[in-house]
Amino acid sequence: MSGFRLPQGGLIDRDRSLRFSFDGKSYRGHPGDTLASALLASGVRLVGRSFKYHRPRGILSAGPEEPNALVELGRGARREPNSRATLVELYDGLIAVSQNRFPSLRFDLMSMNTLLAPLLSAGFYYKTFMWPASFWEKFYEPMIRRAAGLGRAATEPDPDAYENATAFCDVLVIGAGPAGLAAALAAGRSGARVILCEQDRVLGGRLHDDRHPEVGWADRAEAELAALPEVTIMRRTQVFGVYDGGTYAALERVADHLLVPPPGLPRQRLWRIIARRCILAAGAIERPLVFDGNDRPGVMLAGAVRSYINRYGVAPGRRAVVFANNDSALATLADLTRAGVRVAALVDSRPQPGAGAEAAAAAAGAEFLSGAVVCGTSGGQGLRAVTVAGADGARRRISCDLLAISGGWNPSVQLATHHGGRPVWDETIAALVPGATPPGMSVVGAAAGQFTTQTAWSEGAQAGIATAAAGGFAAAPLELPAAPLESTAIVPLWQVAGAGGTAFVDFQNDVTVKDIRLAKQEGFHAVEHLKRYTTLGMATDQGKTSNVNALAIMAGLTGRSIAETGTTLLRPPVQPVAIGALAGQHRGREFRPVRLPPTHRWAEGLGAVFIDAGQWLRAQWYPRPGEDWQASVNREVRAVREKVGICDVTTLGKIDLQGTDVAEFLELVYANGWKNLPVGRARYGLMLREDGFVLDDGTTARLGEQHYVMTTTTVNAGRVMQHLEFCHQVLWPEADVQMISVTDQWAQLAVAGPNSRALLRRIVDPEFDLGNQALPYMGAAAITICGGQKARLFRLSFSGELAYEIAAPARFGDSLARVLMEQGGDLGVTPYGTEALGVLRIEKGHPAGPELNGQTTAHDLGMAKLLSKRKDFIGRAMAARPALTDTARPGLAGFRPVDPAAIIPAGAHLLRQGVAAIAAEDLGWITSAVYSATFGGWIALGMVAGGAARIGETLRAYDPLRGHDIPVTVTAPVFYDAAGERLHG
Amino acid sequence: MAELPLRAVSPLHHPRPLESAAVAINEMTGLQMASLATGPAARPALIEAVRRHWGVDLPLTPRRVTGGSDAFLWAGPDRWMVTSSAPADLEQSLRASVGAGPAITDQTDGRCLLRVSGPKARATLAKLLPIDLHPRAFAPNHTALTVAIHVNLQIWQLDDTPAYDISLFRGYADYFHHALIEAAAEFAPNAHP
Repeated sequence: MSGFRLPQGGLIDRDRSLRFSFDGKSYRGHPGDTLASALLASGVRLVGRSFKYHRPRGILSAGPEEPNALVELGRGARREPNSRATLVELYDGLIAVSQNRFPSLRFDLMSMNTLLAPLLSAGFYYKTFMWPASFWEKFYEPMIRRAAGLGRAATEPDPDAYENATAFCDVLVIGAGPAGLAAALAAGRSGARVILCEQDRVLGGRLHDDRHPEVGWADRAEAELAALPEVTIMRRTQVFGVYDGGTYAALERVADHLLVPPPGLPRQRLWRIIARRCILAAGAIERPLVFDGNDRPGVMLAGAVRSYINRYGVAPGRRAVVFANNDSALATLADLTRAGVRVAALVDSRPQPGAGAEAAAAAAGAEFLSGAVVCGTSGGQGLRAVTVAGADGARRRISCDLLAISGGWNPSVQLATHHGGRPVWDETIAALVPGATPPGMSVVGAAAGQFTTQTAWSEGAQAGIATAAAGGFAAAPLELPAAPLESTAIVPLWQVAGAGGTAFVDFQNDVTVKDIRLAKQEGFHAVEHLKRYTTLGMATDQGKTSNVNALAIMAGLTGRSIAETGTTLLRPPVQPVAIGALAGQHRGREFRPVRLPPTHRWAEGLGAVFIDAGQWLRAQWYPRPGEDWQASVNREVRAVREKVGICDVTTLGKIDLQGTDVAEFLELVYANGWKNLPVGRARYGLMLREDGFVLDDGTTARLGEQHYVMTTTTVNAGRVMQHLEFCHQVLWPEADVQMISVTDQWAQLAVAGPNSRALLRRIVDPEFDLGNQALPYMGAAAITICGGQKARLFRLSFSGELAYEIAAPARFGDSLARVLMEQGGDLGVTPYGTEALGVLRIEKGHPAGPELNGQTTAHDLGMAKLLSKRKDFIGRAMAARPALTDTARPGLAGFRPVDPAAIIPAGAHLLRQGVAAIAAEDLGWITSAVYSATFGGWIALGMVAGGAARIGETLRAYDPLRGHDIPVTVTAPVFYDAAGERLHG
Repeated sequence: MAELPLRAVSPLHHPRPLESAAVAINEMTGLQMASLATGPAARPALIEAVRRHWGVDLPLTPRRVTGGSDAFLWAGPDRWMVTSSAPADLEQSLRASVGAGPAITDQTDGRCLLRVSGPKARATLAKLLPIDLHPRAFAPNHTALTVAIHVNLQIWQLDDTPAYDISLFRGYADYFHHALIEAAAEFAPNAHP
């Protein structure tokens, strides 16, 4: 049935029809409809069940404040719970289902909660489910979650894209009603950069909803704004937070009004708007009146009734009663009459409402009841009649299917409070208006409590001019149409006398007048306590329709003024924001930056398995067909020990240091000595933190008189750079040292193994001598390779073998690896990954990440002799503290299992044999453990109390987490070639 | 020994350009880059040397100046990035011109250079960069060191097309380029990937 669609009017495209479904039933609407207006046009009034009592609920509002009409939108991966039907733009194929009902909306088993309402009052959970405590997780919580709750989130990955973006402007205007449009136009004409954000699709605000005689002005203003080059209109964009430095967060619903986002477009876009100044013109939200049965479907805010008639061409009922305490609602009677809705009565709670009210009733042919209130409603799942208490107290029923209510208007002050400025009570409009606003923000129009169109225009225009002028843009006065006089006179009515357990203050959270009374009775007088105790003002609508009524009722109960009672502060976001929008592009592949070394594609081609090392993706091993990871690693290790392997070590941090003071600088940042390092040589360096613990290690080579290149570990590259910059900029700014990262500039490949020199000989240009004399262990040279290509060669060894690191400009890295593989076929060249690298360094006893964990000292690592006694260096004084040089501290040692077949688990605790496995007996832990193909069994490094002094002892490696408990023998940390003969090869 | 030519490989997985009327994204190859730095005491001498050889003043604010086939970009206090389209080895030619004092470091391979141009270049970059590229805030030969999607980069504007060059560490190039293409997809829906 579509009997509620008016024959004409509204911003809808009647020539086109859209199909949609609600709870499995098919309906039709038009472009321009919201889901709410299309449902109302189709005669659907019951749209949801309430949160706690599962009471039938209808559509209360026509905007973002909607507390009742929450639906699940879409299905499968695109299912979006808690969508407000009043904001959902209709599209063809839209699928919506109601929430929080079982098994169906019309027949909801949980609605028996209504019968239990006396038991389910505020604080019910805290009081009832306390005992027994063990029932909470298994019984109470799951039960509550099933019974009380909102929609279900999708369980599949979101198929849509989201974006973050940044925009800048001189003037940000929030809201495109009459005030915002005037402000944007005045500022925009000055040439200032203006961004106008409107959460709606349509600009003009209540000019459309109230069928304002000058509604055409909005279209003209919009056309002019669209033509101004420095003005950006952002529709469907909700500014939801105000942050420091003129930063505003806004959510643009780019494709929410479409079934599927078009290619290349995100579903939503999160904007960070940086604005020099801001004009808040967010309008106002109408307050419901509080009386028993005020939540029955068919009870609707008067302003929303006008919206549905004027903007959507929908009659929200057939026979109406209007119940109000103010003059703004009077226009509703004329609109209803014009829409063919019979207005049975105007119930005005004011004893002397004035001539306007009486005239409005007379014009509509409605009975005029002043000093009267609606005190009850009836009807099952939709309104059938209201009970009115007259000025004399006499009660009578008036049949109607629509009750338009207005308790006055609340300025939308939320954004004005995000910097902590409390709103202040304005007695004349009986509402809170913005107090101290965030820097650079001015508030105009209804958001400032100026409710007439005339003041919205004039204030908006003035603010636009003033704001532009403050930014140095000369703006001219705006010519504005004359608006008819509007009265906003109000006499507050916070609750109807006698209202109780079905007089809802917060519809979304099912909080009634009775709950507020209970909160007061139990001592929760403060508004913050009231909120926590009753849950009032929580969830998706954040109390937009309920907060002011609640605090006024509390004020009445406690005998304080509303101003004294105060209000809770509002924090971002003003509207719910999907996590996906906050994440933006940062999901999947874009989750975080990935750095690829120069040989990445080559390694991919070889079927390498990759591992994250910091931000880098490194080849972990290179399995051949049929090999598992262990077989691959064993083969790679053997290749290095027996022939030659190549490994991309580009990821190690490389810092280029130049200047006359570099040697002196190295003396200060490294613990060991540097002054006597000749050109063409590299040296191992140990870097301490100021507190004496080891920061990082690596080699630094001297390439020229004033030119060095330092290497760091992969993971600490950024940290070491930061440390060096700090040392230079803050500690020794006078030093002539220039540094820059060259990590990405040079593709650096380790070429390790007995055949490494022979392999390099085939690519290094012949004029460069690779002999032991010319390039000994720890030698460094600038060379050319492959016929004149500049390169660097370092004779360094992490594996303990004859080994080199060769560096070429990064663009040639991929090619260099391929050339080495081609040239080294007969030499047994084999690529090796980080896993084999780890085995090789553990066999050689080199500490790495697990040992350099920020808790170890040079003494702990057996490197005390590196601490120079002839110079000062960072960390020297603190490293000498007795507790840091205590020989009982855990020190580096090697470990082998007593049973050669046993596995040593990394992370295992070390205990003496025969003692209890308790923390007090803990001697240390295994830091690194691997299967060594070289030794045919497991070997490990670890930190054990006393360190080298325990060599020869048998300890327990105890790992209760993975169930290992094996005897191990303490050895020296260097397992392989302790004399170091091979690397001098 | 036979000559074994090394082949230059792009750091981008999809190095081919994105071309559309709205926005174009290209990897710029063939340009040399080097950093030039000095201590404050030696700054006047360096400025003088550059003026003598290139006829330009090294910028002391975030600006770019061009001298012949070379350009100097401010890259921090007493630090500049030099780009050159000349064939001669930049590191060597700089050293010959400015003498032994200043630090000169080849960055040709350390950075990947991406050019973003076209009427929708600003709108594309707004999805990644946190800085204002409006003509009133950022004009040709302006430069900025900033961060986009957690990647440090330097950007400068070439002309009013507008065209921008973005220099970033080579290892991040593929990640950033992919994000850039995604950001441009709204304006060039048929673009890869």
